[in-house]
Amino acid sequence: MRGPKKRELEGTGSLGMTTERPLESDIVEDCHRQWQVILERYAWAILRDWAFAADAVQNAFVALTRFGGDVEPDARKAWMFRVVHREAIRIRNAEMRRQDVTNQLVQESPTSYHANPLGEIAKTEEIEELRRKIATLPSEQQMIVSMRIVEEKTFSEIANLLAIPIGTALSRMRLALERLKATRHDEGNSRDQ
Amino acid sequence: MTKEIAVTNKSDSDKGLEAMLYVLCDESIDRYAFEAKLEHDPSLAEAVAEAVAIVQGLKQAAVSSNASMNTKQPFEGSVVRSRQMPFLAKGFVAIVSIAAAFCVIFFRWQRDTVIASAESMPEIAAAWIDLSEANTDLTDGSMSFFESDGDNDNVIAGSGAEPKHLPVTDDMPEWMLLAVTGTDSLNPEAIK
Repeated sequence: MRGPKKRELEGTGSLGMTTERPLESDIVEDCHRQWQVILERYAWAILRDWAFAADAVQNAFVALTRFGGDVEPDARKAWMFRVVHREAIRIRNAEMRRQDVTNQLVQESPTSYHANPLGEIAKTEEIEELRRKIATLPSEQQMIVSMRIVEEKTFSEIANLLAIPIGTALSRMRLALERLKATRHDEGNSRDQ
Repeated sequence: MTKEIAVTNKSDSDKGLEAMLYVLCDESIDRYAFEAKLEHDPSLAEAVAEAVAIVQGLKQAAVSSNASMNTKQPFEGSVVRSRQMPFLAKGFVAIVSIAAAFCVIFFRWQRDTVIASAESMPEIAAAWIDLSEANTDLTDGSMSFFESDGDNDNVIAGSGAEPKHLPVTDDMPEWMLLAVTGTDSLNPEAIK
């Protein structure tokens, strides 16, 4: 986003907008279909609450409807991420003020993972798909991923348990994520075709 | 891990790892500094969303695998329970029966104790003393016991003595005749 568009975006209320520049509803619907899930995941990373994340994304799409008319099509996704980011931060701050608990939103208990199932990822097929992908990883990478994500061990604990340097544990994790990401993108491309 | 991970090379893999550490709330990540970077780096934000998808998927997979294990356990447990229940029921019945038996024994013992204690009551003792005195009088040839005004109905069997207030008659009592003849009436012919 460049020039006047950026200035307008940053100057309006919580989202930095004052002058309405409506975007066509078809385009908004298309954007919603494409990005809703990924934006909710992103908002969740900040808020650690799916209901708040959904609120942030909803507000962002309202903003897109009202103020997204001048945003260039190529910049829309980045614009949406930024709006969601700001909304999430605003909601988090408001909630922290309301509850007067500083770390509540970043220390959600693991049980809330299944208390708030996430749309697509909660589907059995997708979970099975992820399982299959993880099964294709080398065993040492599978172990790191499982210990860190499922068992919620820290990297230092993992390094101690496996008697490896922390750097090795981190590099295994990074390699595992690369492979998982690559397979996700491959499948996404094949689905699009 | 206290040392902050330096992410100098902003390659995709580094972003992916950094995003994953942020999502996992790893202590090596300064959350607020990272969020400041997120606002201006959409690719990093996408990496965060990707990391959330992986984390959620793995956790869902772990939960579903645990759930599938838990769904098997009740079935196995029910089989075990169905085998154990008769034994438990028998044990319960046995315990109740033993307790009931103890209760019965206890109450009987308590009643006997009460009766035993009642036998030593002063009235019985007094009666015994009176009887002893009466015996003493009889041995002395006195009839003072039967001549007393008290409503004492005690008759000493085989003593041959009869209370003074009882009717003394030579006639056979009717009840004795009836008992001997086995008839229901006092018809003289029937008696004969």
